[in-house]
Amino acid sequence: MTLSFWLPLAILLSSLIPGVLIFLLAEERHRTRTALNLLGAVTKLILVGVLIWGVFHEQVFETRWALAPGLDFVLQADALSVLFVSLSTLLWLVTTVYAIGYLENSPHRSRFFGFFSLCVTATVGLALAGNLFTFVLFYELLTLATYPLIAHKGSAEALRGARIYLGYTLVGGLLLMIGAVWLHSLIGPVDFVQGGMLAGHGQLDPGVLRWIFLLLILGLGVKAALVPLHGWLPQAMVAPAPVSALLHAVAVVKAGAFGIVRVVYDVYGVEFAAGLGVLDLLAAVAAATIVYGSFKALSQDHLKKRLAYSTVSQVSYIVLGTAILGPLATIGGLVHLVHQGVMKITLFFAAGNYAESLGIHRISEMDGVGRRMPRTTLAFTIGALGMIGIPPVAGFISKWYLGLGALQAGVGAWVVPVLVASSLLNAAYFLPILYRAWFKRPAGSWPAERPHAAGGELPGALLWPPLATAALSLLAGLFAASPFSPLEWAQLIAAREYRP
Amino acid sequence: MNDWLLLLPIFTPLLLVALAHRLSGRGWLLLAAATMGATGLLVDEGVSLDLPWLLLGTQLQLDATGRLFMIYGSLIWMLAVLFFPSSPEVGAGPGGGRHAFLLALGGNALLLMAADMLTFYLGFALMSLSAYGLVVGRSQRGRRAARIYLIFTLIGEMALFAALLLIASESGSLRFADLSGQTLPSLAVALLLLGFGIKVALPGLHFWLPPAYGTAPLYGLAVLSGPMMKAGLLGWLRFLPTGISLDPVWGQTLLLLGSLGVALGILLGLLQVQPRAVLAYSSIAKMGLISTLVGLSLSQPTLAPLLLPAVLAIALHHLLVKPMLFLGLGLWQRGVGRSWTLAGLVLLALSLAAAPLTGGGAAKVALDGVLDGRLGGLLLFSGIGTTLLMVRFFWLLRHYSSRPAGEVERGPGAGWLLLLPLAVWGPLQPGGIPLTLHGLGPLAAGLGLALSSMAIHRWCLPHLRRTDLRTFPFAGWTLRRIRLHPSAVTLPTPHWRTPAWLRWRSPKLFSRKDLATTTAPALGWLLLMLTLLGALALTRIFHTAA
Amino acid sequence: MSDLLIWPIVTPLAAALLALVWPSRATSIGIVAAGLTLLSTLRVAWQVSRDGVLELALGGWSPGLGIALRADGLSAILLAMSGLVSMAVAVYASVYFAGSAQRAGFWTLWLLLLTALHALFLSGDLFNVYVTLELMGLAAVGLAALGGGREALQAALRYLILGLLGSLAFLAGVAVVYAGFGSLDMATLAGVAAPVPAAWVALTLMTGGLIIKAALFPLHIWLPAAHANAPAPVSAMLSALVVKAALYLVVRLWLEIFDGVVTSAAAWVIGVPGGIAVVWGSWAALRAARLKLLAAFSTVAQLGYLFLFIALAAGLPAGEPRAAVMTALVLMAISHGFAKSAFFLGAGIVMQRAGHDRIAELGGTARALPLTTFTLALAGVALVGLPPSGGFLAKWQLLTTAIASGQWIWLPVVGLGTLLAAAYLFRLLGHAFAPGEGVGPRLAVGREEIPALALALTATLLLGLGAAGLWELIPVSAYAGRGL
Repeated sequence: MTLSFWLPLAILLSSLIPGVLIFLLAEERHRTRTALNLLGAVTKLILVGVLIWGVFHEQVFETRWALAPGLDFVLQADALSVLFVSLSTLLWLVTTVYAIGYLENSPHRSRFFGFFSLCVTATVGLALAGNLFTFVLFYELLTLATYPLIAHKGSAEALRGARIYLGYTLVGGLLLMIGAVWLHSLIGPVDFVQGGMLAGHGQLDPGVLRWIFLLLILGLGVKAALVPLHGWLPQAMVAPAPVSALLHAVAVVKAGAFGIVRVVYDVYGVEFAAGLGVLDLLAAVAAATIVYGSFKALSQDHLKKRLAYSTVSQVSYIVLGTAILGPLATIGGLVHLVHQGVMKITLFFAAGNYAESLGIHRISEMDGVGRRMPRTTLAFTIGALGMIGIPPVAGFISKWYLGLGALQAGVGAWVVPVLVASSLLNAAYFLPILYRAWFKRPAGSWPAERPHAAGGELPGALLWPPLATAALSLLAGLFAASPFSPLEWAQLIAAREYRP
Repeated sequence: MNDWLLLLPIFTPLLLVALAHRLSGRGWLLLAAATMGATGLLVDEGVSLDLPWLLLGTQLQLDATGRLFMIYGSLIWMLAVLFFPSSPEVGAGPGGGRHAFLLALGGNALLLMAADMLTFYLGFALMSLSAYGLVVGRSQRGRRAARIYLIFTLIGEMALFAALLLIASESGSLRFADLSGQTLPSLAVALLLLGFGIKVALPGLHFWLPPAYGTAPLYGLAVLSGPMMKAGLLGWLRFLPTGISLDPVWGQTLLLLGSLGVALGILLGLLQVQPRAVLAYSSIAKMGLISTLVGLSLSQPTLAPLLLPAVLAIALHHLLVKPMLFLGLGLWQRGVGRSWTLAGLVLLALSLAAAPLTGGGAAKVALDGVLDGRLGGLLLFSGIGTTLLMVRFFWLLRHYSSRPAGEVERGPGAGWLLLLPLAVWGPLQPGGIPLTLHGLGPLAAGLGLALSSMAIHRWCLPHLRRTDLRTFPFAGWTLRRIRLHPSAVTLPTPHWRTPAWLRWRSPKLFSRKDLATTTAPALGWLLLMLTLLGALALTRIFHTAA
Repeated sequence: MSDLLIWPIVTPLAAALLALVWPSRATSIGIVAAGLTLLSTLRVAWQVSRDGVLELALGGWSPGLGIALRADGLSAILLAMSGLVSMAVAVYASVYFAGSAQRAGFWTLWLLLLTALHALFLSGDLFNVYVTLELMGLAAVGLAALGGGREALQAALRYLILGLLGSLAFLAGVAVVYAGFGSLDMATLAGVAAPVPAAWVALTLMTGGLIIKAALFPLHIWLPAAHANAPAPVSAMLSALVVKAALYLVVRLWLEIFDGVVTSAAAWVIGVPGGIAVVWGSWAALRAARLKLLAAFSTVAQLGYLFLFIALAAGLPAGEPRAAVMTALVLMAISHGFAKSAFFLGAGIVMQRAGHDRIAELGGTARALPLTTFTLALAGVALVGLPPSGGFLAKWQLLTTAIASGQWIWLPVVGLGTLLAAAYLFRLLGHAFAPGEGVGPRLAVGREEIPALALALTATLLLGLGAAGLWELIPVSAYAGRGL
């Protein structure tokens, strides 16, 4: 019972305990709730800092707890989980601050923050899951914790969005579970092992393994919003802005993508999976999703919907990077896990700010908003440029490594055009927004302007999170080659995954 | 410490952007622009700075070429500052274009000093994209022009991105220094030609230029036509340096495209009815000439060591002269010190037309020394054409009555006059301006052509004299209204919700307004003659190239 | 030390008599008795986990002649569950029936039911089993009729008749066993049972009787009405414990005593109805207009799962995989027990507050009764089989076994059942979260809300994360015929 046992658990509990306490808290006790939230988030951040240091020095962290014979609840920290854990921890802190500001004076805050913490707990659990069983467990938990957040507003539209979300994700969870159980019944406990564990079981029927892979990917693809399993994502944008931010950047969508990474690298092993021929299909689906999502985004006038389709497209970069054999593509995919998160959360924060302060929900209402809310719009601009892949914002680094990886693997002939096309499409749906915001004259009055304290454009709790994440996405790109940058960490993971 | 100075011209403007909303006035813009020139002057050649933690590993280096571009470019950037309105105008984007200016300046400095491809790409992207804010005008047309500019720029960026990927995965290194001796993949070369060709406005890739130059505000126009356009050229020089092994077909392609650019620029330029447009097409022609020379040096690497200094000289000269012409035109139109302005413009025009005893002439002399007969036809054609374009320019200028000079700022005019000598006689060459009348031929021929056509117009066809105020100065007879494009007249209003701007609307060679007023002119014989001349030049080119 | 086996039976019995003679103190008696019973059941469970099988021959007669009580892993677990659930129900009922005329009747019958249940779990011979089964059935009918309405009486009557039919069939089976093997002691029978016609007939008769009581599709028709119309604490007991008693016997007979008699073809006979029950019950629950009806149909579906487990386990040869399946079965059974009782208790609270339990009119529940809504959600999670509930672990095991033994047919059944269950749960939650005033204003947390929450937490967290011990306990069997 040492640090190596307790640390992963402590990281999990640092959001679970505040979450539970918040549930029990009376609605009016705002200060206590805020303190609990922030305390949890900061504690987690510190613990994750310790974790990063340990994993960097190849220390082993493992919490193992038998639930049943052959079914262990395992939390472990390897380089890959650290990547995701640190992303979610950092963004949780930011989003919590934002949510506190966003939900000021709105009802049901205890419920909201309780589920919010549970959602993060599930995400962190996913990241730290050490075997497929634990992963499935947290995958389902995430579904459950997110549902009330999407339905939070309680309107018919919100309930409908939540229902659609639930329908998709429960079916996905079931498929994932069937796949996992099938695999489990073939080879026993499926631990996540760097380099994959199936290669060691040479006698398995490749046909069966392909079916299992299909099941797993279908299950994970729902959350990762792979076409044609993406239908829930645009509907889920009815959620409050902090939830959308978390949903698109950290929690749900990323959980799916992260799961695909896990399955390909640590269950099947990327070389083994390539040998099975399943990666080609995955890459094709990812490419189709990238292009399709961008095309759909073009025709959305609703800002959050456009962002949602953009997520559909962008998250598949991660999948694409995973599906291409070779360390460079791996790096590209993994680093995008972080980069997309930081950039997309910026965009959603900004969208939330527009809605919150001026009542702007549609792009056609955004004329001249840059002059009215310059700092929010600046953050939005940086996020959008990053999505397009313009250096030095972080998105460029992802695209660069994806492209290099594709060329290295000999599939550059179609991947690079996909990347280029996606960049152009991204430009085509983001730049008009920027144009409207910065260069057009305001239409006269805003849809629903709210009075704020004179001086600043918004309260600090709403203003600083997008600025912080925008700065992060800029710094992540600018200092990509520095130690402990997402890129360096992704390189570390790739080096360990491809270690002979 | 010397090496850290390299960061100065990059970070000064970028930091100022962050503070831009607090600062007023133009002094700090001037300061930002000046740091570039100061660095070029103060830092020794060859100083380099390694920043392995920045981006994917950044290396900056000040080499001779970059240094010259920095010094001369900085002058134009500084001059452009003076043409900013003293208070930001509404509709010109955030900060009245000041943010865009600073960002583009930083990008320009970065790409000039970049010693690796990604850094160059970063600078190039930063400069090109933020230039949107410099191009965008306040009118509907201006916004549309900026949009076209942006589309082309993005396509260029993507081409470069793909090219960089190919190069990086082929050679494994992104340093320019490691390029020599390498063999670049053909696709990468093609993409490089495309990517930088857009910036240089090769024919076929130039569609963004006339509308952008037609509507951009003066400050934007100045830096766009000067330092920024030359960045494309620098891109070719950096990515395709001497010593790189290359299929000669790419050199010939560039050579051909460049020559076409010369022809296109001159022929279409002559048909313009706006002085600005004439200058714009003249830019296409001049950059075409430069591209041709680059192409020649690529296809015949032995020529390169001699050719490139001449190319550099022409480029630097054009970098100075063209913005000065545009700004002079602006001053003229504002009615600032008309006589001075006119005189200055004439001098600049002469220099552009490579008249003897000017900087342009000197550059041409240097070139003649290297080419000794090669490309002679093209050069002749270009010389005559440029002269004609300049005559056309002044003819049109005559009709632009300036507004009454009310409260006019003194700053821009003074700055312009200050820079005038350098623009006319620059760039400073080691041997100074050669005292020779060499190169008078094309100038004289051009002037002769112009005068004779005027004579024909005046005396042989007097009944057609009053067709239009802005008639072609050489007018012979009136053609019916030229319509190059049926949809040209109906401009759909921009509709952002659906991605209308993705739907391909073929960019027009003329703006609608121009077309509408181009009732008059066209003189078959002149066009015919020029076309013949062009054909002649082309055959000569291929003769020599083969 | 084996004396401790009688306490779980004697305590409630004595309390029942006491409550009968002293009705004004019935509530206190009931709660104290429930507490003592709980202690005694936990004591048994603890002892079994430490020492293995416990046996007690009442009156000093050797087994086979007198009344033998035995406790092994299976009975200890069920006993402990019964103790826990009844304790929670007792606390809840003390509020629910406060000031009600049926109070005394409830406590007496309830304590009798508890007596019968515990006796059934501990009985070591088939005749005693029959007696306790009969007693349990009567007490249950009495409780079900407490609702007092016409519907409740009708349902209770139907329950009574079918229950009697089931008991009779069981009794006939017991007689055939005695005729065929000359003994009713279950441990003896486990040793001598052979696949002879007598065994087949006996097994068929007994199983037929039991599946009526366990409400296996299509003999479940009595259940929804009976469970849905009874008072909430009663429904909780009926769904959580009473049907489990019948199921317990099926498990005993099929997997232990007559293990050698059951063929894999026979397994399909209960497997297929089980599968149908899963889908049909969930579907009916989804369509149910009332909250308690939903819960009742959900019980039908859950019992279907349990029978699926039995069928799968019967198809496996004795050994570790089979023990694993059986443990999963027990886990499923007890997590259903906890979850369903929590669900019914929660439904009772909603019903008392709103005056009805029509799902479509439950808007505002989440605001007015946050803790109860949370309880319903938590219990629902266990019922659907989502993590981290015991149901999830059990379902995982079920699927593993189905795949490993090549019975792919159960995959879509379980999948569909899960999705339908999720659908009815979230349909309910959707209505509960919707705005509305149907449930009245928010009040302080009531005493009755705590036990429901505790049960739901047990089902979802405790059984999901801390049930590893079950896998060691269940194989401790007093009746393993060919040895597990």
